[in-house]
Amino acid sequence: MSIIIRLENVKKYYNQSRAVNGVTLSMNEGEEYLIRGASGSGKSTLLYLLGGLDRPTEGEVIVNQKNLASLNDEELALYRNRYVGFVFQFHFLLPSMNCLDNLLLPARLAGFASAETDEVKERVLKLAENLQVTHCLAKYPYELSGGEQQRINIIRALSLKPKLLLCDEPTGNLDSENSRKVIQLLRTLSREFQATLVVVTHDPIIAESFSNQFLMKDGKLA
Amino acid sequence: MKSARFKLFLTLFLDSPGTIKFALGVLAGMAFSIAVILSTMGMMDGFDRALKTGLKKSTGEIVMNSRTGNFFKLTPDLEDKFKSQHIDHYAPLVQSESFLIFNDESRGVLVRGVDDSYSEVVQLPLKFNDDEVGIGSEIARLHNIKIGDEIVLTFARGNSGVKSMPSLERFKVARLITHGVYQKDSRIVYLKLSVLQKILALGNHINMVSMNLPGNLSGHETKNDLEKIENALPGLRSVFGNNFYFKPYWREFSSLIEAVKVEKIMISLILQMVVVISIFNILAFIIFINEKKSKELFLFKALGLSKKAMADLWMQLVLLMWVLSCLLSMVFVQIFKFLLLHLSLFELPSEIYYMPRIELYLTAKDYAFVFALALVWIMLITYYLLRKLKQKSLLEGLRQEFA
Repeated sequence: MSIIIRLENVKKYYNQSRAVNGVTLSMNEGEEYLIRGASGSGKSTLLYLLGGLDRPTEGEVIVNQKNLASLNDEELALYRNRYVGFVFQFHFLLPSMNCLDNLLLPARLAGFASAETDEVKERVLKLAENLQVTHCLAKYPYELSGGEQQRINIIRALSLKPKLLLCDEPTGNLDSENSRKVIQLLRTLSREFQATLVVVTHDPIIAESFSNQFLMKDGKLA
Repeated sequence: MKSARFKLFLTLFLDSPGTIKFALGVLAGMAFSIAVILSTMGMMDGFDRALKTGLKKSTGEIVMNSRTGNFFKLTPDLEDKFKSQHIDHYAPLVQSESFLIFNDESRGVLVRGVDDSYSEVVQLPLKFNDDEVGIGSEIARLHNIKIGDEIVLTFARGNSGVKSMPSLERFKVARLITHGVYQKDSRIVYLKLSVLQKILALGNHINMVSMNLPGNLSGHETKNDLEKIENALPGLRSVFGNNFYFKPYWREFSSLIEAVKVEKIMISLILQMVVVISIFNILAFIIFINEKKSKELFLFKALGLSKKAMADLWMQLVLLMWVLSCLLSMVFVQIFKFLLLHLSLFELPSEIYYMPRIELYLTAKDYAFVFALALVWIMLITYYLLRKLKQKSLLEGLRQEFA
């Protein structure tokens, strides 16, 4: 397995607060990782640095041999769009669009031609069928249950076949049974899409099922 | 497929009636501001054009007088000189001061003796029988003279002196003449050249020649008239020598025309303030949308829209608003044009403005100038705003908006 993610002494400061304070780690392509830690330990910040949503104050975030700090805004936006799939805790589904439009949002923002968009549409419809949310596609996010919203969120993250699937507390709003299902789903889908899966959580039950784990404490790896 | 991205951007922003109303208000405000500038320019150009057209109708393009003020004959030699300058349309005339008397009222008038050739030069119907005259329409209105009425004109007896009693000549009003300029319509009386020459005992002498240069014979002032005529004058002066001087038709009002031209530029510049103020409405709209749709905007960025792409979308939105404002402003201009011509409120006191109504006259160049200037303002101010808009970090924005 080749290394796809390498972090070298990564630091991220917000004013006086040190959210991430010198993290060095590496992750292999196609594997599943879990970053756990208490609330405020810096695990989500680390995930967002991996996803190109923010830039480190110091250090290097190298994904697929590219230092994200060296990418300009346009390249970083392209990286987020094509390379990374995000599953957020709060779903981040747009309330003014129905679920299908929410699912096609990454493709439309990418400026895909209609043929490519059709291909994405075909993929998300298939995923919706597998995840049993086809009936939700014409509905608006507020009409769905928490579990359904999360499944739509996962489909959107996979819509452009990302190489990196980053999940921030994906089970934060779910009960334990649904949490297990969602985690299992994420693992199955990341394997199917040959994506590297990185899950951030503070839930110890989920943590049990991951063999590759990083524990964060006060912005550092414990 | 950037258009699909823009469509997404647009439909997202115009999803509520409140936002649509705001957008329409902004558009209307911007369009009205542009229309105000266009209308002002149009009125200035309209005044300029109407005045020049009126003057052209009252004299032809160029008037030739004897430099000494004496009467002269239109000799074959002079006619050859006109031909050498390719001037086929010229008309001899006699112009003299007189009093018009009607119903115990009198008025000082300018009497012109004209022949058939003058009608071709000024594009007015000025063919009369010996006992007929044509009077300016304002003279008729002021003295309540109608076609068929008899008027009396007073003339100096002969051309030898002014010591003897004037001669009184009776004429029937055959036609009311409208030049479109109050000062001309309230002063000029036309009659047959041979009749006036006989009254004034001039033989076949004249004191003016009115002429048109080859080309434009529509009778309307055109944009390149001034240049064409100015260019022709030196040639005429050199051919006819120092015995005559040549006057272009606008010379009489040249200072007024120049003043209108300067005023048009000044007012257009000052009125840019109106456009700038209305652009602030567009800025308010951008700020409003930016706040109201911040959730969507942060998600767009998170899912792969770069800052530059986002700025491009804003610029496209502003450009679209500019295009729609320009189109709407053209509608406003047409409405104002109609009102200007038909509403009594907009009727001008002719004695002051030389003409009762002004028609808006706008060329494609005027539209292009005003639209382009508005675009420059919009782009500059929007660009500045987009740079200055508080840039929250993506992460901070996502957490704040979706928490």
